Amino acid sequence: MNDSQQNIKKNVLEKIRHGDVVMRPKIYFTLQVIVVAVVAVCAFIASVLVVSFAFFSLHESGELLLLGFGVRGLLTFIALFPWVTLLIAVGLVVLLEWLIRYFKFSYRQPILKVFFVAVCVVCVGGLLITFTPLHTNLSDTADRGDLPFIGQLYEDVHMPHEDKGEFRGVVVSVATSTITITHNDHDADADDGTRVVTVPTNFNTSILHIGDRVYVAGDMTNGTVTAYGLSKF
Amino acid sequence: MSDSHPPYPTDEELVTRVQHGDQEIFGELMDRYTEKLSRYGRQFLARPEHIEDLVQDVFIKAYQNIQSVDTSRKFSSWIYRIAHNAFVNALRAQQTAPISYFDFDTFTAHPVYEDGHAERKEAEEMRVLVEKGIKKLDQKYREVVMLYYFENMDYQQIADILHVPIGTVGIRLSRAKALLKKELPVDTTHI
Repeated sequence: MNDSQQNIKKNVLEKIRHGDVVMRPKIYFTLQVIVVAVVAVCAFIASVLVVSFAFFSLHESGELLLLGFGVRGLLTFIALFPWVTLLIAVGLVVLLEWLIRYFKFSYRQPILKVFFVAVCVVCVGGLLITFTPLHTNLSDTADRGDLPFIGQLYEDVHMPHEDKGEFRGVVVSVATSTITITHNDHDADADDGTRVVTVPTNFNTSILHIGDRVYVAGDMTNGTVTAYGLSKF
Repeated sequence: MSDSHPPYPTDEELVTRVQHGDQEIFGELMDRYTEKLSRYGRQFLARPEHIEDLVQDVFIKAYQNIQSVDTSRKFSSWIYRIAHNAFVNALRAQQTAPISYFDFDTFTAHPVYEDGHAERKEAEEMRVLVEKGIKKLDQKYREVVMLYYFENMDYQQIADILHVPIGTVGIRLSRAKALLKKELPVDTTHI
């Protein structure tokens, strides 16, 4: 070692001896790992819940039925898709990936592989949660107005986007080429209403019965909806 | 006849003693790594005039965080990781152009063909090539080449230092070799 390298050793040891440089206790590092792990677990749980909410809202709103209504239905599905929810879920997965790269099992793997595995696990977790009554119970609580902060999210699931050509309701009368539906979003506000729907050509209205819940995609003129897609759900 | 010399303690044994309060033993660790880290830093930085200060900071940081060392793993990877971060920060301060964090090599999987025997056999040839051409290499290739050929680390250790997948180490190393062979005059390759 040359003189300047000897000086490095001398200077560092001097600082250690004088207490200018001190060792951090082991507990500091243990807590650091625990904090990272806890935040990662929270990010994972949040992402699973957000994804499960997206599945729930697509299923509960009937918007998945749009995929069976041809190209126009597909375009409406894309327009109505909960992109914000998806972006939040992706953001949480990215946060999760960033946090777990702190650990050896993660940084030794390619980023895309870890991301893909995380997305799969989150999606499967989200799907499994949709089979539990969690979101249905939360939705009922929101309808009663007893769910603060996130209650509006559940209320919005029940609201049809009539401006984008989406209508939902319960059949109250059936004729040869028209049906009348009434919308009830299960809460006490004043957005309920009745719509007359002209069913698509070749649609057999005899399969519909009073009380059926239907999902309608179409255009509204003068209070009457001309449907290009209609399905029970 | 028994061996009267005490066994040469490993880095990890020294670390354990430091962790238990034997602060003077840290000097022994510094003896082992000052030259190595200085050499690594000199190749790493565009202007290595303050390398001693940087290496001193690395040892200070190492001492402060030594309780986080898992002595069942290689201490060398751990201290090189600290040095790597310090040198990257110094490089960032020196360069006007920003250093990219984005590297597609870390995104996808690359097959790892670490044939230690064959690669070490050609190491002497490569070392000569590297000495002549290392400054021509990009930073991401330079650091892998330095750690592999001059610090004699394996892919696993390099991956732990750089926090990149093992396959990325392999692909960077093979690209660096190809670049060096292409860049340098033919006569230097006939060693």
